[in-house]
Amino acid sequence: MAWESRRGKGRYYTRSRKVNGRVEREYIGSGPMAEFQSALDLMERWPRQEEAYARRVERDRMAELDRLVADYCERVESVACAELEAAGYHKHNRGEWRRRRG
Amino acid sequence: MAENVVTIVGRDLDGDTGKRDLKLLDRAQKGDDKALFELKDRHGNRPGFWKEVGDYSRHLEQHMAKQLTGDNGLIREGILRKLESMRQELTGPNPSALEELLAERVATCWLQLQLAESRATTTGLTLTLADHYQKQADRAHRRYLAAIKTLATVRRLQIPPMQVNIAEKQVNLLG
Repeated sequence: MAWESRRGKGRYYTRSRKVNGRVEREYIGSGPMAEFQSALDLMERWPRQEEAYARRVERDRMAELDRLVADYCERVESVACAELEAAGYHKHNRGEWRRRRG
Repeated sequence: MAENVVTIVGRDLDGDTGKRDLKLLDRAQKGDDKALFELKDRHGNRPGFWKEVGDYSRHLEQHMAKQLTGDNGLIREGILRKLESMRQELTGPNPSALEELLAERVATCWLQLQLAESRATTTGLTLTLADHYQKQADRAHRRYLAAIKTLATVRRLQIPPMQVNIAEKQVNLLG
């Protein structure tokens, strides 16, 4: 849904919607009635946009948490590896831990 | 995550002194050096206090528990207590420092897995978002299993050699 102009002249309010997989643009017009319709559409869209925004915020928050936990896990893992190595173990072929010979 | 330090430390603080400390903590978290200095002065010789302030995994847990339960403080408290008992069960009676650290990680990963799965199973998600959360849950699951595996490995490798004598012949079973 948008206001458009043709060759820089006038402003027309249009709506786009999908019909049978194709985008169809509906011409609403210009002037006070088009302004009114545009305001109504905006009011109708508002809750959906707010919901979408809340979801984006939540997604970002979860992604940040995921990163923090991954970071934390990596650090703990490196401490564990260091301690095992100090105790005389090594990772055999990047797999199981084995005690060094000799 | 800043407010969580106050939440954790605030549990031990009662009365007017406690309220004063909470205010100081709040100010210190917002970058007030004077408040930090005063906190150091007041709690310099309380290692438990600073251990809790600096406990990164507990902060993560508090944060995740809040995400998981929203405003429901009762369920949140239940989850935090479950994590505590999980840690105790995993560490056993005389854990080494490394075992404690690894058990802590298992508990943190478990909570993240619960959170990620709860998001992945939310109804009404777009396909892209559902896929995004599912991948996050998969990563959390892998981390959880890896955390358990490392704890088990450390336990296994630290078991002292056990000797059994069978017909005067020594057999090493473990170690």
